[in-house]
Amino acid sequence: MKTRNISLPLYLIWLFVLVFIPFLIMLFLSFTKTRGLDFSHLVFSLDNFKDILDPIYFDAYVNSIVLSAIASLLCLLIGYPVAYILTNLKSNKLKNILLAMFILPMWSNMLLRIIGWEILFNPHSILNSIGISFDLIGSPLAIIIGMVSTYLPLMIFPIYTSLNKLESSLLEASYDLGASKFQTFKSVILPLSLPGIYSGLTMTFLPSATNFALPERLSGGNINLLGNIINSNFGKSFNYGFGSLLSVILISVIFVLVFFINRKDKDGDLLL
Amino acid sequence: MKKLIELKNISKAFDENQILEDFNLYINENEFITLVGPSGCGKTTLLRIIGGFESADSGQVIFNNKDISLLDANERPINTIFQKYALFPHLNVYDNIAFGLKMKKKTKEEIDELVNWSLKLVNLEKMKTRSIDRLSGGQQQRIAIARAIVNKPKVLLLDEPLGALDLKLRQNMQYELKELQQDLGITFIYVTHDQEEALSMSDTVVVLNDGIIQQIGTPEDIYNEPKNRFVANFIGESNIIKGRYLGNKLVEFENTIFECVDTNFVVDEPCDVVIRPEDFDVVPLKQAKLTGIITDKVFKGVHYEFCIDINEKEYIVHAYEDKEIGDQIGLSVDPFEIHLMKVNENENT
Repeated sequence: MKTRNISLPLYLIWLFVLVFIPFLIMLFLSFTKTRGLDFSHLVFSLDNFKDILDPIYFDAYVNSIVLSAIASLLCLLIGYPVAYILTNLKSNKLKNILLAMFILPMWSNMLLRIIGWEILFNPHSILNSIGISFDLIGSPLAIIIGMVSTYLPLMIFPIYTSLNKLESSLLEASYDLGASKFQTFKSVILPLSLPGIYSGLTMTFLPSATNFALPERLSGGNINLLGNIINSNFGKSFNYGFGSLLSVILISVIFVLVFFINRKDKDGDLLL
Repeated sequence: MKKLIELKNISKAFDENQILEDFNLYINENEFITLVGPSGCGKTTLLRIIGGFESADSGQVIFNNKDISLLDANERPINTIFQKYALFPHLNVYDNIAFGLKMKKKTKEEIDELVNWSLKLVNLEKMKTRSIDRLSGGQQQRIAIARAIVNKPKVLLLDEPLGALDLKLRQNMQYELKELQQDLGITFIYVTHDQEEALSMSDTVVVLNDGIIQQIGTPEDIYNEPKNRFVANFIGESNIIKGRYLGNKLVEFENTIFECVDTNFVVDEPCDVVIRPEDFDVVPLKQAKLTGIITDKVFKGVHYEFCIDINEKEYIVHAYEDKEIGDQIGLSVDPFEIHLMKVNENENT
């Protein structure tokens, strides 16, 4: 409890300096027009709010949310069985090897991995030598594959954690009361791993929806996601005001989502 | 009485660690049987084999004349009360109790009726919609009992169910469990390391050590006539003294001849004499058969516990009058309080 007393205010200071103040600055910038970082020409205007009505941005929001949602669900479909198998492995050695297989790729640079996909998804890739050719760049599928491969471990680990926390006596109690294996899964294992599922969904959905390198490399300029629009407003057209407005909206949407998920994940200890 | 469960030639090892070997036991209908022994004696393993959570390496579990060794836990007409209750944390009291009935696809009305019936049995009707983590330890215990008996099992397995409760609550629950068992007519197989619990609740006590039955009998038998040193030491406190049977219901120990009631010894056969601390009578020194010096005393509430040095051996004696450390004390024992055991060469305890 003592460490908590000290770390809590510290955590609040960080939150204030690194999250809250930048958010206020962006909120402020949303109501301005600037020329890059030259704030001497800063003027207040509501133009940003007019610009945002352009359907291209609405499409970007929809793209981001739909593609990330599909990717998160795919992560769940793949990740749950993987986490389940990992939990039930008897051999610790095998368990550690498999866990390492999912952790190690996360230690390599994400951009490199995405560029890897970019190369493979090109019609003329190294795969031609074994007679395979993909033409996926610019398709939603390419982006979804990129998202799933990048964030799958973030689905597996929280589910693995919650399955691991499940006491074996609960499963025995379930069998004892006459439940079959399937009934036990449905009535005990699944509901008790829901917190893991919720945090897994958060942890795959949020970075998928905000990632900008992924759509940049894999969309071939065809598909705009919010991440790369925001990125180009800050990094290419130096339109800080508009970029800020897009960010503020995105942060608000995310905040609402996380708020609902946290209400489900009461322990809060599943977010890695 | 009818045999309900028979364990035949059960053997079980965990990683080359032989827990049970060629173990045999039968359990009668409506019996309250307790398996008692120190940790690691195989009692919990036995319970888990009966419940279907472990399978024996060899041997059979017979239930009602049918071999159920190969049935899974969910197919056995047996329910368990687990050590730490194992209540489902995501379900409230009602849904925990209804779990087994729902799995058996009972109708809503049936479930409702049975859940209410079992909640009434454990006196927790008002807790129906409570969530599990808002119950006290004692209440969780009762819900675990209700969750098991609502399925009307033929046999209830109880794995140290009172271990986590405080003394007062534990004593209350002992009465309640015993009453419940008699009212419902269910066979209870109870596992505990607490000898007092075993004595106060059971019809039959099975004392186990190292996977071997040391003694089976009524609580009175086990306490008054322990078969060997292990049982004498494990069930209650004992003074075990080396002695010699003289024939004609006479036994000699501490260079003194005592009358006794055992007769199944030959003349001059060495024997172990068991005298419970409360069976010594404190008498004036003149009438004493044994005299010793008090080396230590502890006040235990109802009585004093004295450590007494007799011929440089330590005896434990319970008495009601206070004496001082260093005092001389005279003791005698009634013949029927002296129990003789056969000497087992292989025993070290």
